[in-house]
Amino acid sequence: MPSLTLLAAAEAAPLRLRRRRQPRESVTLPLSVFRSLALPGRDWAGLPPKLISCILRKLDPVQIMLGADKVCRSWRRAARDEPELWRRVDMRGHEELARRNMADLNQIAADAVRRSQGQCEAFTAERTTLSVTDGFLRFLGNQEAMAIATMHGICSLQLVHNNLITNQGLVAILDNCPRIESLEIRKCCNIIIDDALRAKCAQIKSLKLVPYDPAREYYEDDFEPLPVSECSTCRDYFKKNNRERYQESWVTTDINVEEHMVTATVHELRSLELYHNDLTRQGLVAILEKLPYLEYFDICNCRNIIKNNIATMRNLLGNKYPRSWLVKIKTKKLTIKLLSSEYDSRYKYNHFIPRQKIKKYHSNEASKRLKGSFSSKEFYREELQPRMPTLECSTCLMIEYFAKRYDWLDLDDLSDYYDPSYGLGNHDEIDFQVDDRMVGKRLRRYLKTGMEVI
Amino acid sequence: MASAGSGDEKAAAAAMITLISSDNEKFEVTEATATLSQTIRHMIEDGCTDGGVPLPNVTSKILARVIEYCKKHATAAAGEEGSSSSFSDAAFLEVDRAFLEELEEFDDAFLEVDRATLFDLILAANYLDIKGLLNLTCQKVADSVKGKTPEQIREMYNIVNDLTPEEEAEIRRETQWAFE
Repeated sequence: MPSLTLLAAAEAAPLRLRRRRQPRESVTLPLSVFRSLALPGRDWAGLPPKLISCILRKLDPVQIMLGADKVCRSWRRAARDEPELWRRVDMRGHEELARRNMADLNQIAADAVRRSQGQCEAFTAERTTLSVTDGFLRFLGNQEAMAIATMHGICSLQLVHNNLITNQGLVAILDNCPRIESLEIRKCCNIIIDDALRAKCAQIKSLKLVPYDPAREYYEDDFEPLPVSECSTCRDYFKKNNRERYQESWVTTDINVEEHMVTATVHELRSLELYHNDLTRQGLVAILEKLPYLEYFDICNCRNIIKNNIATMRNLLGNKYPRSWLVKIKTKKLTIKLLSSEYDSRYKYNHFIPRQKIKKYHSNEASKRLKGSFSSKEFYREELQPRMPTLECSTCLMIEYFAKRYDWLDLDDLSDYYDPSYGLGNHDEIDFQVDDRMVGKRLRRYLKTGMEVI
Repeated sequence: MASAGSGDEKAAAAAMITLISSDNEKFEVTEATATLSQTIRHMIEDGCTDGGVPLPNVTSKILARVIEYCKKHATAAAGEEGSSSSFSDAAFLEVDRAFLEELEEFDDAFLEVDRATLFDLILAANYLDIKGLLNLTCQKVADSVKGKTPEQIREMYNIVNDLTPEEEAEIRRETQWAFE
């Protein structure tokens, strides 16, 4: 009977199963196996996006970018597509990573800002600000979406040592960030302050301009001098192939424009710092006159002002203007800082700023010290600068220096090679491309060591 | 304080709420404790807590822990309110500080759980809408993730790398500096 056999089979089945199971039960397994069995795996990737971003919000950009962002799809999505997460970008506390070359903070900062999709309100970075800001804006220079330009809420912007950001970039930023109150442009050699920019700067309350000066760079840090191709000055120089034009452009950039800019448009400016520029006495007076709200005025290493000694300065201020004017300065607590020599150690190590109208003028010892010693810096200053005090670009200095030395300078050839070491040796043009970099490097090292010895 | 909108204010202070976990275990808690959860608070306000509040997303084991947390923090909240209404003299501040420290210690100890429990706690905190607990647990996860590479995180949390080849390529592009 089929039914009987079926029943028998049904009865036999559990028996067979039981029999089969028995040997398994006797198997000994390490405890860890059972532990993992006891706790069914939780699907961390399957957490609701809201909760993932809740976790991510407890991390800072660098931590997200280096870790959580690349774990799996859902985490990545939470990290990438949530602009709110990037409202505050704080890059602090990770220098070590950068120093050991384990992370590119610049890239991270740029990505973070891009991900904020315009909602970024605060961007923080510290002394490695130099590195962060640098690359952060390198990204900007690459003109990928103008990340900063999308940060409508940003109030303060610092551009440090950035050679790719151009005027267009800066104007775009200023256009899009109506709330910028403080702007610092430091060593950005592609930013040339012109009319358009001048107009844009009108709303800014605090402005800091520090032109690029390679000599200082050598002095302060072990920075690789910038590749020549990135220097606007040189580009202009070679493009126009015309020395006069070149000089003129620098003159307008440096002397007139800055003065003019501040005097013409930025009436509400409260703090002004001019470094290394060719501000003249007249310019200074004009600035003081036109800026009634100025409270802090720092003129550092401005050659033309330093040439006049402090007494003349005082006379100038005293004679040209009525007493009331001086009084006004006093009541406004105007601070003018005049420092003479860029090699003055006091400037570098002592950050005390005298809170007086005009206090310190300590050029003498410093410059004497310098003259007594032959320093590499001095030689190019000595040889190149008497007539053209505004040159700020190492490359140009070098080219001119060598041109003078060898009494030979062919601009057409140089337009291809833009290298300071060109003309240094008797290289054939063929091996020049290989050699020029090395020679340049050696030269720099030589200059540097020369400096250190002294 | 807790029963601002509820109908039976007289009984509010002593009112007990029954919470029912997914495996049908019942927990009796005071209303002050229960209202730490916004979800339950809304239920109470709507007056639909008679016969217990079923919480089908929370197991008894997790619910017990959540209630433990709520009890502690409910008393903390009550204490805070009490002290702020009276004069805040030095003695009170001292008590407060001691209490806060104790609370912190409690939180630390509370978080000494395995990852699975932590996961369930996060989900429960989210479901019950308990801000403090959610913050606490998320912080714990964030802390454990800090300074870890993606691989380490995956291993730690049993996450399968399901990034598409395109995304992988994108990541590689982003981290190009590492290979230069």
